[in-house]
Amino acid sequence: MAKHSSLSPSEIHIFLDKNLFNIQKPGRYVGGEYNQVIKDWDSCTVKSILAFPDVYEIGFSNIGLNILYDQVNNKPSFCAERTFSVWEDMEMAMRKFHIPLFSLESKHPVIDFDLVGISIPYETLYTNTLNLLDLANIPIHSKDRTEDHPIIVAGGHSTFNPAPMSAFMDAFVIGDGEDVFLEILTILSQDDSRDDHLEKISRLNGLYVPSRYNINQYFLGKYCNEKKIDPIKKNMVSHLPASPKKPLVPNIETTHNRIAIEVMRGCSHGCRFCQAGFITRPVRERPLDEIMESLRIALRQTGYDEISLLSLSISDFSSIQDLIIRISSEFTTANVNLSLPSLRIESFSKDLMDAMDQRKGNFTLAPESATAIMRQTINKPISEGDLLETAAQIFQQGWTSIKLYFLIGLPGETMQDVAEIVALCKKVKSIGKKIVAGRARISVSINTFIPKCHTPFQWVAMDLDENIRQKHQILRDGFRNSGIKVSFPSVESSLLEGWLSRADENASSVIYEAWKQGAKFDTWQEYHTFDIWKAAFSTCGINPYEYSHRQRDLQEDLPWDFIDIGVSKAFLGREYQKSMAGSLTTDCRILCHACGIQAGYGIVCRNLLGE
Amino acid sequence: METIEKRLRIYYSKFGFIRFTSNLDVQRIWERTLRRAGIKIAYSHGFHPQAKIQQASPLPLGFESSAEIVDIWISADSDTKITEEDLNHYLPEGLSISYLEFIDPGNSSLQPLLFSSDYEIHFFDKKSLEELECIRQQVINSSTIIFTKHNGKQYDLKPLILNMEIHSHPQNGDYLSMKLSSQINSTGRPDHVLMYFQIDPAQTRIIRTQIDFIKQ
Repeated sequence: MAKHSSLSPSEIHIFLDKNLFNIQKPGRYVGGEYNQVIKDWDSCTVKSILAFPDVYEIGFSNIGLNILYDQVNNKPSFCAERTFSVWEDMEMAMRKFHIPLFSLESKHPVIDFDLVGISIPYETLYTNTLNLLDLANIPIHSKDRTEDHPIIVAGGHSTFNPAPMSAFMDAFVIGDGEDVFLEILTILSQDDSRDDHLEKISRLNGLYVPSRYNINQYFLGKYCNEKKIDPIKKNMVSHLPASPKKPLVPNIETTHNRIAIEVMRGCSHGCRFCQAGFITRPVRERPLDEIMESLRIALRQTGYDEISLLSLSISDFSSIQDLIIRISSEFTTANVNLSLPSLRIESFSKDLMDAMDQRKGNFTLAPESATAIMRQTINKPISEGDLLETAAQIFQQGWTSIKLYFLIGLPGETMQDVAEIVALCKKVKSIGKKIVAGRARISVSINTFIPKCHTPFQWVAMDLDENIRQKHQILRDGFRNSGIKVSFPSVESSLLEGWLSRADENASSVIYEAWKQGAKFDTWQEYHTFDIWKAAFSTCGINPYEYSHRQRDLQEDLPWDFIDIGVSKAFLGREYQKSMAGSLTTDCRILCHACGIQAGYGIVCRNLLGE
Repeated sequence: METIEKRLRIYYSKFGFIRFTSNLDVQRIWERTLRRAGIKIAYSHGFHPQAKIQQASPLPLGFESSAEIVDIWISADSDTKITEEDLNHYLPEGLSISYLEFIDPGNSSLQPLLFSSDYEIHFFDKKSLEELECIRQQVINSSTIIFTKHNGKQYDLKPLILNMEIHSHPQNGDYLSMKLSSQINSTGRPDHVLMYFQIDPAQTRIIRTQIDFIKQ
């Protein structure tokens, strides 16, 4: 379909042969992994490429991309290849020799594909996304693309507020990307103009095509009946898509070298700070037998020695105990380890710990805050007694190392609430000392709360910079000489995330300017791009604190209101008011709070559970 | 009676882009390949069990080879009817087994017995026979060939270059071959030889074609 002349795969091959010898970690750029799929280029009617705007080692394990890779390549006439951001030394070599970004599989230039699907899970990948397009010789702005260019589609959690990137993307997949991605490819297989393709794509579930949707009309329509248009309703798959039958196995070390199987999507707790908890509703579980069968296939196909069960809150999985017992009895004889993400404190038992005692690694707990009042604010009620009791059990079972997660900068938080984090961690440490003596290790990770769209805190102001700095000082002083390892992100990196996550369409110009001035890899410590961003906001005449630190009115129109996540704005508003009143909302598996998801999708939540 | 683990020796080649996969990563690839093939690898005892895999001679990143050797210990009860073909099926692109055999588990490990490695150097931009001959003559006639490594340390390549030959090849261009010492504490690297003669190793394809051991 592509009609321009670009480099051939053999020319790119020669470039790699002659240059990779002097490039750091050259294995990032060559593909060739076990289970990689390379199809005959000319016999594919629609060619797609999946891109992750960070380095190979980070992007490789992204579960969404791996599911799409499998889904697309299972269709005989479609193909999906992969590409990632390249590190600075490789970028310099590519620009020097005019080599466009290419696919790992067939080494075709990205521009020769019909569709580029970019996963953007967080906002700090925006500049890398622009850089990726630029390295591919694809115009950065959607409006500058012609029939010769692939269609650029973004997905991932950051797209629940698509406004800041809407100038650059031809379309956004809001919500679950599975199935609908194949529908996009089917549309592209028809011989139509770019405009007609986009028009058809815009009618798919969860697809937001900025050039085909009038946001102003959406907001006007709210106040004047005859102009009403529907919001963009997120795509939701009722059944979790099948796990890849032939998972890719990297040749070089990546961040997650293990089988990752999604056992559950969504979360029923409603912790008010947690965006994933609201945008991924409803809770969907994978049936136990299906999980076991997928694990069997994946172990055989990959040769991995570690299994990771993915979900927002693994201990809520209906048959977690059975699952862990079955995994232990079936796989652990073959030197296979099981790793679990953080567990909720109130919902797991000694039996569960007994079942998973194969490996005494790190045990992760996420109390988030150390005082009752803050836990009520965020709706994550855990009593201190329960937490300490759990810690004692963990040590008694033979673990020696516990990692604790906290948030600071929550609405209404005082300096005392922060100081209590130190006190609580010290209590955990002294319990550990009593049980496993000097081997007890406590590490604490303290993140800064960033209000996110589509949560009950979407209206609130982020905590002031000077408060955060003061809180960091309290923590530094408090943990000094405690033998507890503490880490927190820089104020600057949190601010940048705060500025971008609730930005509007005007921020497009800032992102473009920041990229032009050299901002990229914003999540990497090596790149200090904060000053570039500050200057870019100022050049564009936008005060970033308006995005991050302005308390919004509950009645106000918000830039992401036209995105319908199935959970109503009214429900989020009620949750916000309950938060301010310090009142709790129970787990919705116990009592439905009418968040809107059942009515919105015509589903009954409990029918989506595994057993 | 104590059961004794079996020792599998694999002779294999490494060609193409997988040459950019490091030695440590190749070790992991062997581990996963055997697991995929359903062969139980033997693990060391202790808190962090390690798969028992020994490579004869680490191959530097970016080099190709037709002569790699790896020893892998597998559990005592494993089937010994493993064929080259069976295992090749589970390897990623670029690695290929030419021969495998079970050897006496009590044999000495290969690394201390290393003597020399043969390398072929192919040039992306063709070199004339005269140019190559000039290099060879310099090697023969110099009493020392002092190479300075990137960390500033110097070593003499002359005693490590055991042989150098020039080959003419009408299609792919003329190339160089050399035999370099691979003994512990006296290992010569072909890329260093090239750099000494102002040739960028990135502009060549370096292939190890043979490993020789000290005769016991």
